[in-house]
Amino acid sequence: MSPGEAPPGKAAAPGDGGTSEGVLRPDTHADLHGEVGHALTRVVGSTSEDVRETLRRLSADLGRLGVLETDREAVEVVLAECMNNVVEHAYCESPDGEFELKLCLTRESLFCRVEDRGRPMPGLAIPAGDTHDLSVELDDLPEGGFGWFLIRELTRDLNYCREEDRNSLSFNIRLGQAD
Amino acid sequence: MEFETVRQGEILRINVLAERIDAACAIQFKDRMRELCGAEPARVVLDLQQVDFLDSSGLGAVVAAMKFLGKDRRLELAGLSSKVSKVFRLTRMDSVFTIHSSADAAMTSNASAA
Repeated sequence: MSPGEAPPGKAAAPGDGGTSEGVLRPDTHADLHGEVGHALTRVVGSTSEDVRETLRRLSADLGRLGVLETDREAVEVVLAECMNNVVEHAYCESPDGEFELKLCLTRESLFCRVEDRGRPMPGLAIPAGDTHDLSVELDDLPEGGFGWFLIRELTRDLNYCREEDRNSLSFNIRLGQAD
Repeated sequence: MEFETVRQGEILRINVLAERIDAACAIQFKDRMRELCGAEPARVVLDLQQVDFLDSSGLGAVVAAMKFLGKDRRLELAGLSSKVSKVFRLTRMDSVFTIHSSADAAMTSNASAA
């Protein structure tokens, strides 16, 4: 098909020759006070270094968008745990994977969705993340298992689903709430 | 991952010169802490003043460090940022550690039993 000959009512298929230039859609548009959420998308590599770098940048980006320091602390803790879970459990520390972080910021909350193509969660369910009994002997103190507890404590509407080869974890973090 | 240590009498002060104790460096943190703490002294004060962020892997690494010091030695924490404190508070790990506002405060406080 030559350029400009897309059938009526149908856009030219992407990848056709002759497109003038790629559409660079900015993923942010600075209007925090509008009714429509402010969307941010990040593609993250499957290593803990990639997670670290993403958190650093995202925290700065959210700061520029007017998200308060205390809220950014909670967001960073939650996203760190979610993304590290993807790296460690969905991709089993294999460094050549990629996953997507989609955020939608409104005045009251930050909606987050983490999507990966790694292994499903065991039992297709979010781990419990119970509190630990800390009144135990020194040697029996837990060294892990805090991650899901922190996620559950700091989020609302936590939801997981597996669709075809994709994991999707979504939740809301309420903003402006003193803890 | 860089550390700075100061031995002052029966106290070893370990200053963590890293911004983050996270999944990317938790194993390294544990290994280095084991080297630095050696067999003595009885009190180790971990100064986290420069640490901006700690995730659950980092928290696990700090707990592991306390465990390998054993029952006769103590790991105390100092200089927690509000973000780091939040993680200790939410997981209630703040009840397990002696936490000082600053390393200087820790160095001058008596080693009272927790």
